[in-house]
Amino acid sequence: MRELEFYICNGGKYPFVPHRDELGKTRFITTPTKYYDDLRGQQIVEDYVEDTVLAERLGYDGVVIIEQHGGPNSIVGQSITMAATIIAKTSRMRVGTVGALLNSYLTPMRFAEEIATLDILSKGRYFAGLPMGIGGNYHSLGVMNPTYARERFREAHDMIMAAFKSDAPFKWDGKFFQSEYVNLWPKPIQKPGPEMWVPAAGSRDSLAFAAENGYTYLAVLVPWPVLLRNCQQFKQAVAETGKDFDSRRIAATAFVHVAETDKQARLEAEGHFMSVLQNSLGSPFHDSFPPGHVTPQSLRGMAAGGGYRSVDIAKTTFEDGIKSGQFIVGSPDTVAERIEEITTQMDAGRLLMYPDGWTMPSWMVRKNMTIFAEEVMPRFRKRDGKPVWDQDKAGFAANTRSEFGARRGPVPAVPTADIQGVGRVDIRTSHVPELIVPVK
Amino acid sequence: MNIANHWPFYTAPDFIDVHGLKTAIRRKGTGEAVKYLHGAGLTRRWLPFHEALSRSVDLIVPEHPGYGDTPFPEWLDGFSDVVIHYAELLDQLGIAKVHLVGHSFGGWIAAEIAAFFPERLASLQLIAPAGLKDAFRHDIFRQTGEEVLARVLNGDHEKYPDYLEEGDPVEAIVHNYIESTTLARLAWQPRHDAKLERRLARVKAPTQIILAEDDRVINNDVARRYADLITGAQVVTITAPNVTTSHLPFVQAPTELAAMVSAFVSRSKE
Repeated sequence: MRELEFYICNGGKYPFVPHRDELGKTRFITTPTKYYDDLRGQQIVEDYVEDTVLAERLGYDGVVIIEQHGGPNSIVGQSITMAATIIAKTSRMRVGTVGALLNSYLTPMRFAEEIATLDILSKGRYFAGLPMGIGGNYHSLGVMNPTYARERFREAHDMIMAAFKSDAPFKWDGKFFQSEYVNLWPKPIQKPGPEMWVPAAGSRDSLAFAAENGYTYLAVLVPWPVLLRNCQQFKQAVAETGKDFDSRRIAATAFVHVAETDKQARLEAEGHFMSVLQNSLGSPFHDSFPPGHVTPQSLRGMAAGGGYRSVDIAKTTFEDGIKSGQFIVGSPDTVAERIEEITTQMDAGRLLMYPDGWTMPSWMVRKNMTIFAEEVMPRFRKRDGKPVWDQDKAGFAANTRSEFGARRGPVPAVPTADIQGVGRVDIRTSHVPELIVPVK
Repeated sequence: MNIANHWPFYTAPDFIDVHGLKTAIRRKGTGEAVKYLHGAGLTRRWLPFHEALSRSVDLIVPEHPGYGDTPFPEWLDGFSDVVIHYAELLDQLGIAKVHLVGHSFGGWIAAEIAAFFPERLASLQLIAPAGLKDAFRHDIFRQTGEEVLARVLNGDHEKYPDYLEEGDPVEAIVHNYIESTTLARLAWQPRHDAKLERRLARVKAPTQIILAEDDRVINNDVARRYADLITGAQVVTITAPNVTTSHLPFVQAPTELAAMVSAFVSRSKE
C-alpha cells in the first residue's frame, strides 16, 4: 500500500431547505433564511466542531476547515473563526483552512495577521488554503468584482508573502493595494509562513501558481480524466521549477463512507451523497461562473466538452460518483482498495475526505470516521498506524484509534449474546442483517 | 477575431487605432455625424436598423472596448476610461460635435459622455437607457440564455431567427462571456452611477429619451428620470404597427426607430 496522510473536511451543511427542483436557481445564493431554524443551526455548528475535534483522538493527520458564504451549503464557513475554536480544542493534529477568501478583504494584511495568529495559537500546526472563491461567493459577498478576481488575488498573495519574509516595514504600491507601512506583527511560527494549499478545479494558471510557489495542489472535484490531466500538469509544472516532486504536494479529495459491509455503507451514504449532487453542487452557469471568474481559455475548454462540470452535476448517478472516484463507499477492504487505486493514479500523497457527506447526523459521521481510522488508515501507514504528529512517541498505550487499529491483535474472546430465532451471535456486527451469523 | 463569421448581418468592421486600441467601427451614410453606442449584445453586425438610419445621416457605429471586435484592453477600469476613449475616437475622426445615440448599456455610456463632454454633443438620444439607480429589472449577471431572450423580446424571439444566430456555439459562449466580463468590469457593483444625478445638469444639447411600450429589461419609470435630470429633455415612446415594442425596438421596429432618431437629429441641427 502507498503511504498516505489523511485529512478530514466536514461540510456543516444546513439541510432543512426544499429540494433544488422546488427552490430553483435561488438555492445557492438567495435561499431565504426563513428556513433557518435557530436550534437546528446551533446543533449543526456544535456537531461540526465536535466531530472535527474527534479527528485528533482517532489519529487523522489533520483537518481542513471549509470556507463558504451566503447560503445553506455550509453554515460553518467562517474558516478563520472555526480554526481558532478547533485549534483551542486540540493539541497535536494539523489544522488547516481553505479560506479565508483573499478577495473578500479590504487589505490582505488582515489575513496575514490571522494566519500568523492561528500559527502561534496552534504552535505551528496551522496550514492555510488559498481559494479564489466559488462563483456564488462573488455574487453574494458583493465587494468582490469577479473580473479582477485572479489579478487581485495574486497581488494580495504577493503582499502577504512579502510581509512574511520582511523584517522591516516596507511600502507597497500595487494596483489594488497601497500602503506606506506594511509591517506584520505578529509573525508566523513556521518560516517564512505556514504551508499553503491551493484548491484548483484545473485552470493551468492555478496549477502553475501552486507549483511555482511550492504549494500543495488540492484536487477539488472534477471529472476523473480532467483530474488525472491536472495531476500530470501539476507534476510537470513542479518539475519545471527544478524541485523534486513529493506526492504530498497532491491532495486527493473524495466523499468517503465506510461501514461493516458494502451494502451497509451504501445504505448509509447514498441519500446524503445524492443530496450533495442534487442540492449542493449543481448551479446554473451564471452562478458558478460570474463574468471574468474563469479565463476565456478555460471556458473554451469547458464549453467544448469534457471540462469542469460540462455535464449537469445533478444528473450524476451514484454509480457515476463511484466510478469517477468522487465517492468512495464500502467495507474497509473495498474502501482501502479504491483509495490505493485512485491515489496511485493521481500520485497523491494525501487524501482529504469528506466524512459527513455534508448532511449526515453526527452519530453516523463518528461511526464512519472511527471505522475508517481503525480499519483503513493503518494500511497506509508505516509505523503502528501513527499520524504524522505522533511519530516520536512509542509506548504501551495507543495514542489514537488508528494506532489501536494497527496494533490490536485478535480478540481474546468473541463477545456474544443469544438472539431469539437466530442463536448465539457476535454482537459486534449483529445490527447488520448480512453479518448476523450464529457463533458455534 | 480571425475566424470567418457567417451569421446573418455580420459585416467585417474597419479598425481605427485609438491611442493603441484597435477599435472596431462600422460607418455608412452622409449628412450629420451620428455616433450610435450599442447595448450589451448583438455586436459584430450591421443591422437593418443601422442601414435604415444610415440613409439619412453619417452613421458611426463603434464597438466598445471589450465588445464585438474591439479587444478588452488592460486599462479598462471604469466608465471614465470608456468616456475618454470615445472622446479620442471623435478626435481621431476629426469630429468636433456629434449627435450621440445610445441603447441600454450604450445609453448609460452615452449619458456618461454627455456629463463629461457636454460641449461635444449636437444632440443626445437615449433608448431604453441603463445608468440610473434600479434601472435594471433583473440581476443582469444571473440570467440564463432563455431568460435573456424572453426578457429582451418579450417571448417573441422566435419571430426574429436571423438575430439569434451567432456562429460556432463554443466561440459564441466564449465571446459572450468576454462581453459580459466587460459589462461586469464597469457595472458589477454598483449597477448604476450615482454621480450622474448631479453631473447631467451640465448637458445643454437637445435630448430625447426613447422608451419602449413594454420593456422587461429596463424599468421605464427609472429611465424616464433622465428627463428630470437633463434640462429640456423630452420623453417619447417608440411604437410600430402590429407589434408591442420591447427592450429591443431596433429589432422589432427598425424603420420606425430609425425614422424617430433621424427626425430628432434633423430638428437638432444647428
